[in-house]
Amino acid sequence: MIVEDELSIQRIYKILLTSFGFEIIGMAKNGEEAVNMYKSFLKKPDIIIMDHRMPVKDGIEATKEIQQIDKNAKIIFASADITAEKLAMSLGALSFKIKPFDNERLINNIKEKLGIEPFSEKVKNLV
Amino acid sequence: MNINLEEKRFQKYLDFAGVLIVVIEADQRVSFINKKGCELLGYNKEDVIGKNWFDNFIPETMKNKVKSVFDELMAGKIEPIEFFENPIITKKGKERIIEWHNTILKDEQGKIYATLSSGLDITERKKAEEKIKHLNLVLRAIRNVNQLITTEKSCEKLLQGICDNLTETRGYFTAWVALLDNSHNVIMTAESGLGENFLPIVETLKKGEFTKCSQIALTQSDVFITEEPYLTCLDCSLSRKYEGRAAMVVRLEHGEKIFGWLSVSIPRNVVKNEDEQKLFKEVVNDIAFALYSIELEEEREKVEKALKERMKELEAFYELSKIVEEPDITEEILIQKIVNMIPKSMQYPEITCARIKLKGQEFKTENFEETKWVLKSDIKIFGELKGTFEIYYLKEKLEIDEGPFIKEEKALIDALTERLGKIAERMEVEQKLKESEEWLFTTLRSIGDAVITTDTKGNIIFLNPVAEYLTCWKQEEALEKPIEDIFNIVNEETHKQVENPISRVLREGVVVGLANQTVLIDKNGKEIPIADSGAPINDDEGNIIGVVLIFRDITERKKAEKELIKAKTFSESIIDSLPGIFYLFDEKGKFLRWNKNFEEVTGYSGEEISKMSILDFFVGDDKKHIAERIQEVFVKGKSTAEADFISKSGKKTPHYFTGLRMIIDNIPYLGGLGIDITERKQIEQKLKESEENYHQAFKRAEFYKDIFAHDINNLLQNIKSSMELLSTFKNVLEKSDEVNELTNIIEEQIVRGSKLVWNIRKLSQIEETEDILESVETFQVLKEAINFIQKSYHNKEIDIQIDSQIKQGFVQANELLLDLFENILFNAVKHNENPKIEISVKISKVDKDRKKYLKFEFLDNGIGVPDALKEQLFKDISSIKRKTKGMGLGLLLVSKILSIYNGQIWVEDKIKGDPSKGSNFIILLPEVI
Repeated sequence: MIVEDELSIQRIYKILLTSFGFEIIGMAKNGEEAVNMYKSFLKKPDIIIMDHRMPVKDGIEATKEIQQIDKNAKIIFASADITAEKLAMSLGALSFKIKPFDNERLINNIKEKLGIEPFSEKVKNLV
Repeated sequence: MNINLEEKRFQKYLDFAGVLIVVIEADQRVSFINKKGCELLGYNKEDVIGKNWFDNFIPETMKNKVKSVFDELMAGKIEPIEFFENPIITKKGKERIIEWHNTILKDEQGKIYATLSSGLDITERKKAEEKIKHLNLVLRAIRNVNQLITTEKSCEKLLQGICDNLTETRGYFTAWVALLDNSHNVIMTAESGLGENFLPIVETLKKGEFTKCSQIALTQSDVFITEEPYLTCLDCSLSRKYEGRAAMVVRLEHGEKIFGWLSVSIPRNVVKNEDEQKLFKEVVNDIAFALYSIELEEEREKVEKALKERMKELEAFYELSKIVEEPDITEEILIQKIVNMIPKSMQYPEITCARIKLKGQEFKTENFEETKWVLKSDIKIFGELKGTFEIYYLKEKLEIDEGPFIKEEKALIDALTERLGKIAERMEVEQKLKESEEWLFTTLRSIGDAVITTDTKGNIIFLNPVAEYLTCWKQEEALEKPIEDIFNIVNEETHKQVENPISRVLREGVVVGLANQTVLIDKNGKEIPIADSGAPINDDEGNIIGVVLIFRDITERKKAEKELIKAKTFSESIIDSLPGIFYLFDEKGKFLRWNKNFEEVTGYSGEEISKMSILDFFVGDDKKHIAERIQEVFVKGKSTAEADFISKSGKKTPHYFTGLRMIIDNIPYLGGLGIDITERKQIEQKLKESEENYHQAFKRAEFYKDIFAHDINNLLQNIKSSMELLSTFKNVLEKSDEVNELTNIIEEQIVRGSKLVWNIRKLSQIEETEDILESVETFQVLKEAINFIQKSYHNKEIDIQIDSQIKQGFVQANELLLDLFENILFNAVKHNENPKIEISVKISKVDKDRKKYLKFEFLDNGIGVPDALKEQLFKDISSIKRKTKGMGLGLLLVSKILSIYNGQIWVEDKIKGDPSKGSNFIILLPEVI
């Protein structure tokens, strides 16, 4: 699941993640949408890519609420706002990616957290 | 015949005899009695002859005795007594004393057969003899009494002596006397010859029950005689002793005083004797006189004693006065002398000692010793107990008046104590007076001013050294001279004589001062400017007893005054020329001084200000603040304050006030300046605003920086991710769509980046430059903006339509209007996921709040604005929370531009109630007509 208010970044996430075989089961434009979307999933997403600075509700608040729903929810923060890193990690985020970050790092981080083959190998396979 | 004749002749001869002749036979019967005998007896011969002589004619009391003598005579046992006296009883029962000459008759045988007695009636002679004897006894008694009277001074002893003498000399059988006091009570009795029989009478007398004879005697001056008290005074216990006796009672009287009475019992036969009564009366009178004399003597003694004691008292006081008058005597010596003089004032000086305790000190006689026989008196000074006066007897003496001291001594000590107290009071007062006089005298002599005192006639009594100096008169020369001679005063300018203040004081009885510009002309003619005042000197009753004149040379003062005036003028000029307002006021806020500026700034006149308080020029919190600062000045010495100064018109002008505590004539004042700080305040305000602006600008810059950094990072993220993916997807045909999209994304980011930079620049421009607005036609600008958007997003399908019923519209704007429209359109494109971006711009004219606006509605088919974000979107950056995203820099710029234009912006749903269908950004711009 992607939580990101920037449409262009949403588009990139979509291209990137689907390229690596990840299914994006939902994209929320703000924290509020993210929480509602998470509630609505019968099958919860394996991982959530969470931006922090968003309108209506930010990533930290959304993380807290999602954790109330599912304390095991896996969340990777991907934000340009470095000030949120410490708080996000204290809430149990798997990692905090500071924009701009490498695609490979994001993918590897996702795979690592999900226990999947790293990106570089996949790319080799693609080629 | 011859015998009978002889018998008859003999009988005749016997009858002619002047004596009684009686023949008593042996059987005691009368055989013969002569005529004289019958006459004496009062019987006829026949009644006598043959009768028993003793049984019939001798008194019962003598019968046996006479009879026994007769029997002895008849028996021849005794020879006839030549002269024998015994009484006979007459027919009338009276006794007659007969002097008998007895002869015995014998018969031829020599046997005694009868007695022949001749008797001479010596009754009268006997009476006379008894009377004389009695009188002699009485006289002797009287003589003894008189002797007693002259020698005896004791009343008791006198009376007892009298009674004893009256009975011992046998003038009287018994005698008793009772003395009365002024209340008619028996106070003393004496008796002789009555013994215990008198005691009951004493008891009744003490009860006030007098004997009858006493009662009668007290009512008359003559002797009261009771002939037979034995028979007539049966209720009197004394009457038993009066058998055969008579009683005489007479009051003891001398002058008009009745002392009591004297009662005697005497032979009955003499009681009626006038001489007897006279003698009795005389002796009683003498006794009364003696009693009177004794009383007089006692009185005299009392008076003498009192006089003696009074003399002692006077002597004591005299001596006390002498002691007190001793020059320069100290209190200690005075008291010691007093205590030493005390013993000789007492009735027993040799055993008297004394002690005075006063103010913690003790003064004693040399022989002082405390004993139980003490007389004390408290010494009080001004009503307060300060000591005691004690007198002791060293030996026991008879108790007289509730103790060994007589009341005169007690009175003397009390008087001396009181006197001593008064002396001590007087000494204290004198001391204080002396000290006061010394102080006053020293003060007068050392006072810096000249002092002259006069009597009520205006004659000099006193000049102090300063007066001597100024007038050039010595006290001894000036004494008793009229004041005018010494104190010659004239007007400084006219040199006309000025009335002497002393005359005025004496006339009016009030304090007076000299007129201004008065000069004193001294003895040498020198003129001295003076200031003075004269006042009456009054006694306790308010009567003027003199005048005091006080004056001083004011030459220096005048000089100083001139200098002062000069200085004052100078200082006033300075004060008036001071910038700002000058003020000087007391602790109550009352003004002492202010400058012209004060009047000008406040708009109040000097007279008005003089009646105002400093706090009248402040209101509200300023008043409280100023009051506190004023308090601080008076406490700490100085302070400052800023507050609005209120003028008469109500105008408030900010001022900076200084306050400094000043002491003028021992009174604290606050003096200070107030400076108008309007300009400074304005500058401060501007500075504050600048600071605020700077702060806001800084805050904004931070905010912008934050947004810029965030947007740039996102932008870079887009480019980076896109570039990496492009690198991954190059030569992968299946990813051509993705490659195109990534390329588009990169392009968009470039556009976005340049827009971002542009917007930042514009935002800065808005903050830094002044906005100059002019009338701008909006349609043209809008079209320009549309063109720019479409060019920027050439790879997107963007359809922007203008929907307007008006062809043109003018608003008050500037070149930033283009940025406004561009950013709205950029926003609509940016937040749109649709392949075809549709934007409709509706333009209309509206009236809102009585103003005319051009209304621009930008309706898009983008992602919409959630309701929660709608309100937040255009809030001031100071209220925006960092953690949620509000508007981006683009909308921020739009908001700034609209605030310059006095325009408005808000967002609604394109389709009401469904944000997901797109947004409607609505802008109002004030129309220029």
